[in-house]
Amino acid sequence: MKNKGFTFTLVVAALMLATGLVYYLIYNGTNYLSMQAVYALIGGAILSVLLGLVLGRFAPALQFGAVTVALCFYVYYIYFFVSSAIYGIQYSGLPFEFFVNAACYVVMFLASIINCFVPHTAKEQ
Amino acid sequence: MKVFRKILTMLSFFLSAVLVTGSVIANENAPQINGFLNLETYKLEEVEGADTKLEDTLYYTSDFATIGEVREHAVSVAESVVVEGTVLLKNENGTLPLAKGSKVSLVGAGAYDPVYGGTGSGGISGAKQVKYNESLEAAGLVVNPTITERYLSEDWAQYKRGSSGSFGTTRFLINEVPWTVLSEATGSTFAEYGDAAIFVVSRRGGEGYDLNGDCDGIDNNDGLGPDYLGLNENEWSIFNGLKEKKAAGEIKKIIVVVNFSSMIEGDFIKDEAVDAAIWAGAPGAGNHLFGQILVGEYNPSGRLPDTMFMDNAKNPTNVNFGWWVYPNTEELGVSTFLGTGQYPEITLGSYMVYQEGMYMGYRYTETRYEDLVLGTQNVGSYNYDEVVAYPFGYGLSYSDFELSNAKVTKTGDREYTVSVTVTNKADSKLPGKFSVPVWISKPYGDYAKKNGIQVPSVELIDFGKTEILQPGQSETLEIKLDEKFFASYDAEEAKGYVLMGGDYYVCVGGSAHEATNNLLMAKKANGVTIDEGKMIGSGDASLVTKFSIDYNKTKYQMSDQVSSTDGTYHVVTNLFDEADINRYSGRGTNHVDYYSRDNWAAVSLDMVNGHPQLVMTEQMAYEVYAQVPDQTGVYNAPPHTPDKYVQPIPTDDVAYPTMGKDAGLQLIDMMYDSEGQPIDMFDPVWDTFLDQLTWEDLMSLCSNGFHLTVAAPSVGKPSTRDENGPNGWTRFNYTSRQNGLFYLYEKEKGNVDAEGALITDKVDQNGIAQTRGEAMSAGFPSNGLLAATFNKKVAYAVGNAIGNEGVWAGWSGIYGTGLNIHRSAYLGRTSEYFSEDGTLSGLMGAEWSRGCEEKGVHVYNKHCALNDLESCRHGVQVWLPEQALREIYLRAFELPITMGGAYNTMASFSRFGTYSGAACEALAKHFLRGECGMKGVIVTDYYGDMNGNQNVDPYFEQVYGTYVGGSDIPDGNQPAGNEQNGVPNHFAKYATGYGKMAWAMRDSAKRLCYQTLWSNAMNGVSSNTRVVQITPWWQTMLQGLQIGFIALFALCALWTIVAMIKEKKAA
Repeated sequence: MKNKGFTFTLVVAALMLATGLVYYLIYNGTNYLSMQAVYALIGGAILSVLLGLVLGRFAPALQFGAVTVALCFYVYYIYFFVSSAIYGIQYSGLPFEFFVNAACYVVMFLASIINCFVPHTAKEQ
Repeated sequence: MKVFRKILTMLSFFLSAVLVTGSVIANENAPQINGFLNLETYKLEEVEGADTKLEDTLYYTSDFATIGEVREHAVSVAESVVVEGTVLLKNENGTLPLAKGSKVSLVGAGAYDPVYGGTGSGGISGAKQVKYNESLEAAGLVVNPTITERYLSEDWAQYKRGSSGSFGTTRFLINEVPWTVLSEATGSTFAEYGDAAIFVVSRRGGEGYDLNGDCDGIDNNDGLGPDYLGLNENEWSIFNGLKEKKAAGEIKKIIVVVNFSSMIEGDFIKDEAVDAAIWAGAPGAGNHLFGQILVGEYNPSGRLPDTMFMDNAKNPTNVNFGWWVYPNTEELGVSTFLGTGQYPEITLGSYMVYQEGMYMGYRYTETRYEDLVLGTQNVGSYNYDEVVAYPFGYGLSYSDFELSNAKVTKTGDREYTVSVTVTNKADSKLPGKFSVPVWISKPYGDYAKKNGIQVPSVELIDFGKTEILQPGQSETLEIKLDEKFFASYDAEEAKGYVLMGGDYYVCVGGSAHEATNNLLMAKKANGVTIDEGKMIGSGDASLVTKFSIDYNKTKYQMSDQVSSTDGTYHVVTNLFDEADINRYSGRGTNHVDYYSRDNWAAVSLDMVNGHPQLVMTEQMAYEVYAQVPDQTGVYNAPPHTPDKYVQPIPTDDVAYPTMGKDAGLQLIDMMYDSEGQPIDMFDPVWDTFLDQLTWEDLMSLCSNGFHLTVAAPSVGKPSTRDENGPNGWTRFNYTSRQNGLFYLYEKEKGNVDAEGALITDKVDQNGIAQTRGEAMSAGFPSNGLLAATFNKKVAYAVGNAIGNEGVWAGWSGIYGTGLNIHRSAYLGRTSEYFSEDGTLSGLMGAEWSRGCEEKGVHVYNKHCALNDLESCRHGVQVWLPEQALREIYLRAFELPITMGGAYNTMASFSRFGTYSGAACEALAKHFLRGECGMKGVIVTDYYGDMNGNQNVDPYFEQVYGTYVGGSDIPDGNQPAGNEQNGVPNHFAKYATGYGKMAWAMRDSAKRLCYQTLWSNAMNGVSSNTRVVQITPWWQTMLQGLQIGFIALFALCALWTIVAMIKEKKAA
């Protein structure tokens, strides 16, 4: 029986795929795209859904882990850009796309945390 | 409990991941973090039981007893620059000085928001600087309060100058309040405060951009586009409004103040409605003196360091100020991808030609003028008054000075002595100083014409300045000239410096134009036909002395300095044929007609299309890519480089130098021999010393140079800290280093703990209190203002003040001073550089360097060379004749080394032909070290801009720079030699099979050690001192936290598993 926990898992998975896609589209061709992050998001989304079908209560943990790993890789690849924009010769602001992408990561991350506390089994419900 | 466990597990996992990522990032940027936190990775420790006396280890000391005295002195030096560098351009009917108590109306946004310096590495803090209204009030003038209140109001903040965008896309906003608004708000008050209207026009420039970009200036359709360096619409409205007020009798005088490190267009200053005008430069910490200058407490004695043009569209150099892309670059497979980061630039296929060669600035304006008066053919249409507002070297005084008894005599084989009496006339009202430039005019005869030698009418050769002279007082100045600077560089026939046969005229005193007029009268007296009707101004032949000299190509054939590469004197010969497109071996069909005195009519003023059009050749492409042999670039990294251009450094079978052979020698042992004599850098003991270095030492030394040179504990080499910039230290802390006098004195008092840290509540409050979170340096005025003093003593004082600050803090290198040339007023970074003239720049730079070096602070004079524009400075190919390169652009760097003892140099981003400054063997090995005898190191400019980190195509790798001897260290850090994060040090692959590379690294290591040895980094070091590696506290903390949280996560995971098992069993 699928419950609202699984639904939330699907939502988080969708957010992961969307974030991965946005990230790829914005930063493709630059040094700031981490394919490790993209793979973690896509792989994590797919595996978490599959896992959710079988062992629903573990799916959020998998998602949280994948999102955290992706976030770390994203930060690692983007930090130089942020620091050179802020501490460069003349600060002129960060571009709009940066904020769009960062917002996606933040929303996705928060959703993955919430999903860990949403009931995923009948017992939890 | 379950929830708690879940939260703890998630948190520990998240923090573990964050800490691991954070540690990786932090370790990659460890040098920057340590610099920010003022932490060292090495410390100096005394061998146990040693009893070293402090005074025995102070190799460089200060002239001052406390930091407070140092700072006070530095401020007074900054003030002297303003006092002596401010230039009085115009002073009709004794408008200035103003009487104290005069009521004045101060207008112009710049009056209330002055430009104190540049931006970027030349920046200084503006927080403590004084506005013009404050300065005038403090001097006893009564400033129109209504206008002041309006300009300082929130409503009028919109009229302040500004900018938007960044670097190449910056848009400059002059803004300024329109006259209609100003008049409506304050117009009725002008009459009450009408003794004078003072109109301040401010402009600002800085690193990373030039001033010929988009702006809110007026476009006169002269090809320059909207012009930042002319008045904009609102400023014109104010100017015209003031003229109307004056015509109506509401204002008695109009005074214009130019607050800009370079020159604006001077047409409006020449308006007869303007009664007085001052060029105030960018005054740094000295602006409080401006009011005192205006009321006559100080007498201006500055001279313009650049030509002020009436209209910059009349300056033909601007036709070639910019960068262009070779049209066939893509066909050759060379990228023209515009960078996506802070610099939308093309690093691999852009170029610029200095078509004017020698005829730049006053060398153009006065030479063409002289030829007009001489009636030379093909002068073309040239109206001096329409071209030049104020010439190079121009400056008035409140006093009336006269020169008399001017004599030039040959007093040695190559020495000429100028003697001239300067008198402050008795009817002058004020005391003052007076500078005397000396000019040389070389013969332009058949030899020069045949061999393409460009000969300007007059060239500055030296100068002197009096002390303060009271009215009626005189001083006789004696200035020694070196005949070497009578010689011209002949790249064609002699391939060296030659004294061309003919008449040489030495002209004493005056601006470049006055000298030219004096020269013309002297030539007339010698039988040369001139058309006096075409002269602008008059001349005085008594200030000119003629010498007839025979042709001589051997007298100055050898360098004056011993080479630091082999200890011999070198033949001075062509080194830069490959930077002259007409002589470049791979030029193909390219050719440029450089300006010539025989055909001024061919000089183009077409600002849009007048520049030479070049095409890229295959050889150019090969040479460009040769400088990135390892493909380690960050942006657009491999496989970007086309296969046919990939040129790895070749293997060789050269034997490697001895490494790791301990001889018990520490760096301090290399200072003096057993007889107390300095050990020469060619003494064989240096080989024994260097044999001790391991391969890891060599890699570490050659890889790291971001504002430092690293320590080498195995040989007792301490690290050094090097900081910006050309106008003084931009940031450091007096307490930061163990070799600083501050630390050493406190240590002697017992105010350090067992770990060697200062016990802060015990140390000298006069020092600590002044160092907490404040800008350190006095904030010296722009170098143009310093050049305008025409006073070497002031230049020395500035360098020495900076050196004193450095020795107290233990900072051993300064990325300064700036010695590029004001080739165009549109150059963004003029505040860091001195002048359009290489000799003035070089002579002032020499004194600056000497003052600094005396305190064990090595200069890294920058940016050597041809970085005379900011836009597309990364990788732009500059083509010019060797004569101009040597006599103008490199002269500025040569004199500080040969006369000032400058140790180090920072190479430029731009190219000599195809070779970037840091990859140019001719520049580094043969010119700087070979001819000039430079003893120290060459650092690149910011390495991240060259290896692609800033999203420009990578165009230089440090391995290449080291290999060819072009540079020793990057201004950046490469991966550490211990394979951090799986990225090996870029030199690691050369551990075997590349003997030449190993020897080149050893040469760099030697220079690094040598310049450290003779710096204040050795203060406090004795033979009882050891350099010990330490791990900064933050790295230890990060490691601990990582281990802690990973362990916690592991425990939580185990806990979760145990709980699940229990749950299952219970179920």
